[in-house]
Amino acid sequence: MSGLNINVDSSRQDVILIELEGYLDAHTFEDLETLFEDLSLQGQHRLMVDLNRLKYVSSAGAGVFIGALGVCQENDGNIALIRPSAEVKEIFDLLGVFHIFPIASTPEEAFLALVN
Amino acid sequence: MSFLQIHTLELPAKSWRLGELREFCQGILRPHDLEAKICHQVILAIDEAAANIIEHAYPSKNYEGSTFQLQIEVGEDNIRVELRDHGLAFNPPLLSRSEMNQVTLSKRGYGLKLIQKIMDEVQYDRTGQGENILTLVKYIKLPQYY
Repeated sequence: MSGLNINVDSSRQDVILIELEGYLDAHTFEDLETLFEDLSLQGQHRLMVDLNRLKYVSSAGAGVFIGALGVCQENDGNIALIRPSAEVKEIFDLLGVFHIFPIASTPEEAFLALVN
Repeated sequence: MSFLQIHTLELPAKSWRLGELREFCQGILRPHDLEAKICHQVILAIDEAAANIIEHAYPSKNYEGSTFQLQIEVGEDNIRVELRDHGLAFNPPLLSRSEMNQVTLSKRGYGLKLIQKIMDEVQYDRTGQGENILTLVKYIKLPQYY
């Protein structure tokens, strides 16, 4: 129940697809935080994150999304969450922030939400 | 029939051991046929409390080799969790109900809020021997066959 794999797909113009697999906790959150910071420095502020294979998120992980969302929105971007599991959704709900993210069931749907 | 199962685990205060901690908790809770949501919440609260110990009780390399202990008691009507460490005292004030429901958009500092939202009782004690004891209780209803 540990480890986080991150896959970045930048094949779509202006929108980055990030796929997460595994466990986003107090040990692994910095990997995602670093990625978000790097993308921001590159001017990438429209992000869609596929959570379908993410099994666990702790508050440290949720905080990375919340922090990055603020940066993206300040730069006319956004972060869309794709297919969060019930467990992943629950932690965002407990923190009262689930509603601030666009939610999509496919990357295509997330893409449309970000470009429109 | 009296029903009480006590499980203990001691782990190095390292964030890379948190996965092992969650696995241990899941192994204890799973056989009790608890609601999946309750299981997930209790494991999340324990993970958050352990992460706080690692970050705040043992904040520097001076604490290399430090450990913390976890004890979980599954009773008829509650799950009682105790986390003990010998690090720095860490006793942030508990949040009021309105503070708990307040939405904040910071990057860090959500751990205690989550613990308080999930668990029914949260108590912190610092002993005269320099031990931190965090006690968490979740009320539950086990299936009838117990």
